[in-house]
Amino acid sequence: MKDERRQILDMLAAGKISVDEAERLLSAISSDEAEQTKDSGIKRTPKYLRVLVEPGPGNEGGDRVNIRVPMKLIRAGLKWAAFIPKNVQGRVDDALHEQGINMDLSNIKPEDLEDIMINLNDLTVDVEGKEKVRIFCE
Amino acid sequence: MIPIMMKMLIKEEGKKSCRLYIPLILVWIVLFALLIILLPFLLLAALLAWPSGYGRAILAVIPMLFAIIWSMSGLKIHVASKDKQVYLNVQ
Repeated sequence: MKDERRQILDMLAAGKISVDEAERLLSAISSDEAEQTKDSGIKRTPKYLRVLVEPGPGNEGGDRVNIRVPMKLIRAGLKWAAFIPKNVQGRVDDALHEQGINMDLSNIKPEDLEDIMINLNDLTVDVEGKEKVRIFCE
Repeated sequence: MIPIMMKMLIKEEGKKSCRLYIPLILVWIVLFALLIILLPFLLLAALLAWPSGYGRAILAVIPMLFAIIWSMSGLKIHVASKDKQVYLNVQ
């Protein structure tokens, strides 16, 4: 951002842009900075998980999928894990380890669930091939 | 908010399409009545299963079930192929 400001000032000094134009550009940069600071501060909890599948180029007649799952539903589903009896949790963990997933269900706490939900906001999966697949939160 | 309506559409080429509007509020009333009838049996099952560790899970079924029902609002599934289409929307 500092470089951009300097570039604008250099252009103004060289007479390439007018004072008004420089002012507009500088205010645009300032608003961008403010937006970024806001984004990096408090993370917004997403409301829905979206899964979109669309046919890729050359596959116009392919299947289309549009799924919108409320995050509340995912949260409620995740809470079921906490009610798995202790002796069964061990078996589930073992099965997960066998599949190469190093996760300990008994260690998932309600605050971890909240963290998962908040950080899902950053999740974006884009796959382009025969079909275009997009998974994101909104 | 508790979902009150479910829209369903099943469409197939060459066949009559099926469009359903299900007032979920009626389903919830029936489910609630059923739950009240089954509650003593559920409590008994939880009591019997408590030493094995499943009792808590059985007891938790009711609030979890309600949590899932409550959070279904906004669910939308739309799958369309060349000749078939399925649409489900919970409002």
